[in-house]
Amino acid sequence: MPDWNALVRDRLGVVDPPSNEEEEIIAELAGHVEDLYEELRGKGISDSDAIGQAVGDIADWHGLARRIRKAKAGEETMSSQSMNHRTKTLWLPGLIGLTASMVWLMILQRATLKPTMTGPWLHSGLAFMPYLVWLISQPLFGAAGAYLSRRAGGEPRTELTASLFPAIVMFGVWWVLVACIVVTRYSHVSHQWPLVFAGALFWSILPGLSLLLGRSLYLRTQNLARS
Amino acid sequence: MLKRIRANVARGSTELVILSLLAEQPLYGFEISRRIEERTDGALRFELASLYPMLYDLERRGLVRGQWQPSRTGRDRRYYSLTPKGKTQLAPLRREWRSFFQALDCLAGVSDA
Repeated sequence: MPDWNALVRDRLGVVDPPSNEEEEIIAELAGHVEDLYEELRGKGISDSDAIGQAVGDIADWHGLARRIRKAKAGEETMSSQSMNHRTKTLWLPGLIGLTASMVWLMILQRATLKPTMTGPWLHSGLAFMPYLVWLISQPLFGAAGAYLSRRAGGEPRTELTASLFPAIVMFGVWWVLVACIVVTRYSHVSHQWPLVFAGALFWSILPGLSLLLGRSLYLRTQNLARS
Repeated sequence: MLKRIRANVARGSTELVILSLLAEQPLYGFEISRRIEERTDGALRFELASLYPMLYDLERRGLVRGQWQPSRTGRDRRYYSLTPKGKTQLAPLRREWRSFFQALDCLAGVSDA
């Protein structure tokens, strides 16, 4: 028989160590799932099927966690609670990821190649090195965003947005810049649309894929650790 | 608007059902859900996901109280019982629903002849 408390705690996304109130909720829900499992076993259903059905009785565990939080907090404080929740699960992890990614890019740019440098190797594509190193390191920031969001109890969609946050911001900033240039100096971009799209590709889409890779690796590690 | 009315009706009826059951005797979550299913011949089914948020909401509002006690199976379960405030609230709630069904019956003839 599984450890019902651990199973419910994992699915609700409760951060360790749980508070006393969270522990009580986990124990109560675990008791319910256990009763359901035993009822199913009593009907002659196999052990693995009974566990699957008892746990599967709740389709959306994160939704349940959210509803419990709302019920405990009460209607009058619901909006402030959900605002705090959003700050913890989306804005904070997203902004941490964005800041870390940008600071890292700045360090790479300042610490490596400079326009004043001379040497034949400057024409060998090494100028791309800071960008490549930055791009390769993006999975770390994607994983960090997902970890921080999940730790704060973020739902899968929020967690995805938090991990992709740096790329989303870059995408927005890039197109705002393009729009400003189009409005003020249309002639400068009218013949350079391929470059505009290349910019979006290099500063938003590729980093986004890299962040996504980090998130997937983090989730896979989590699932392996759980199983 | 219609969705909001539906949600309010569902919420109000859930509240009435739980308070009425707890007025008879203290029960824990799983027992509440099974009792509802048995009494209504399976017409009403309360899943864990809707039951516990409602119980916690009732508890926060002081209408029910949860206490850990050993169950009939020997394991500790959180038994819910009606508080004095919950008992006071139940009578007007029943009256409200009775008037609602009478009004609905007048308009739509929903009760058996």
